[in-house]
Amino acid sequence: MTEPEKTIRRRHEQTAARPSGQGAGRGFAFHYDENNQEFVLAGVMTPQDTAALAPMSEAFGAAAARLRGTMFLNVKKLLRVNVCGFRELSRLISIACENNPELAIRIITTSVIAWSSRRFERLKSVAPRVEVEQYDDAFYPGQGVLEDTSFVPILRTQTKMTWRHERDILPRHGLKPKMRIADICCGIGDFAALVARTFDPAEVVAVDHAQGSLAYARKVAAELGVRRVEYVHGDAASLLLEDDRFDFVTCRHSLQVFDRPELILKELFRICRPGGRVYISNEKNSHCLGEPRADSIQWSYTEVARLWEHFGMDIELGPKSRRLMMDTGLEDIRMESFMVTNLDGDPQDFADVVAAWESVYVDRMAVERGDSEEFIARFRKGFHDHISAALHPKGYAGWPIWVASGQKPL
Amino acid sequence: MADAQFEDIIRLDMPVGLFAANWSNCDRIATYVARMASIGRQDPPRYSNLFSSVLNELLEIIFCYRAPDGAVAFAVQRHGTTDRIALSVPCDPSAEAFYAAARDSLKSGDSATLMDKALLAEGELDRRLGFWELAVEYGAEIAITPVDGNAMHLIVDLKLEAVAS
Repeated sequence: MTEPEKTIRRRHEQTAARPSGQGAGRGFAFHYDENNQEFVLAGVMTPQDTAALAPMSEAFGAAAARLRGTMFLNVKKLLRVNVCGFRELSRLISIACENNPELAIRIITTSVIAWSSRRFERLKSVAPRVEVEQYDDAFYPGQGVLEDTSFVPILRTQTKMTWRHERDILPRHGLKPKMRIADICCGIGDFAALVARTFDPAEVVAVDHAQGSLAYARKVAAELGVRRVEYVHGDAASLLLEDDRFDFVTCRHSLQVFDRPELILKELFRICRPGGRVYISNEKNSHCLGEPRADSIQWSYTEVARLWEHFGMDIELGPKSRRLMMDTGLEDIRMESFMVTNLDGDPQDFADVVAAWESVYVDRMAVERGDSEEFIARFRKGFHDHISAALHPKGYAGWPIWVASGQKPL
Repeated sequence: MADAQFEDIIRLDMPVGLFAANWSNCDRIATYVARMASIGRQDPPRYSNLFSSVLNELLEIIFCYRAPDGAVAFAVQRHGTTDRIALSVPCDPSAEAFYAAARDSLKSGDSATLMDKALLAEGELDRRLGFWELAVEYGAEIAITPVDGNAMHLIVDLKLEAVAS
């Protein structure tokens, strides 16, 4: 036991304790993090009897006996548990609360595992001071805004604007026909559908956490006759997809939304096969530009970056992609940037997108931050000037995006 | 619903000796079959996770309650949004008594209460808990029927798309 590290961590194969020692079936893992008072269970827990769970039960009991306050039981990655395992967990929780009146137990579940929250809710009747928290009800800073389906039309316009560039860029980053592709944080799924129509993939699995966006994505894909795209509910930081499954893994405009992008990159890396590539795109909003009224525009977008930072997000992440990918262990990093402009297509599309940004950044986020009327008026003016630049007969408006890809080592 | 309406997705027959040789067979078969059964469903990984949970529970029950010889047969069938797991298990008197008791308890219609009691009960695990949990948590409709005096048919109808969403 590694007490100096204040961590108990063991790998337990559920069949290993059986007398035969045979059948190295899928197991589960548990560890206790004393710093966070968190007991974590992960994997598939299907013991034949409680004796097979003895090391876990012992560790749980020992941790619960010496704790004060709240013990967190993290089951976010517990994929399956049979009745034997669930009954043992019930027993452990019941004993822990009975023996330690100063202990409360909060069970952390996820909506991604469909049975999890409902089943663990049942344990609230097992003992007093047991709570269940579905962590992904509010698990990243911009969730309320980004999972709001009222933004669907503008997200489609954004993808239309970026796709003009990316359809030429993607092959330079290794995308070829017949590949198995995962699009993580797929949003309304239009990028996945465009990839499916353009690059003749073997399969596309598109994952997002917003059920409303996924429903929209499935509807649009059906209307367009796009097949070979599976739209899947998931948590980008804890995917249910298998290791090494995909040739090409994309994650666009999303790392910048999460407060811990490295956790998502780790998952992208995990599901990518050795030799496959991970492709990401992100922004550096302070580099949005326009003429005329360049100063006003630049001021507002610099403030956008500060505003996002206030809410724990990094809209300046784009140029940091190379470092993030290298830190994840990816190799052969390729990186480039492109500028979406009002000259790419209908300038009104550009203006509509900026108007949507104004709605989110000014009317929601700045108001929520408690900004003054004076600030909000100046902040808003920058977006209006950007729209004017986009629609001006001699104007120019730009939105820069950085793309990067890296290869998972063979 | 007539059986003819259901289409086969997968069928598997196994000698009891082979199936019961290793507890992990339940998990392995459940995982494999669930992947097959999730094809064509709205959210295959999510569906597969639910389906494997249900099938594993059923397989664990028949692992514990069956005759020492004979063959276990099971099929996964589909009709619209309903998936059916059909299991045929050779039974000795002890297994027959278990399934008869399970059938009676399911007929009582209070699986939720039975489940809560079984979760907190001391002593040996009552394996009927698996049936009660499938009924309560997964909305499974379970029919248990004796056949020819030495086997049991288990028919479990599932609408997991509804549970998944």
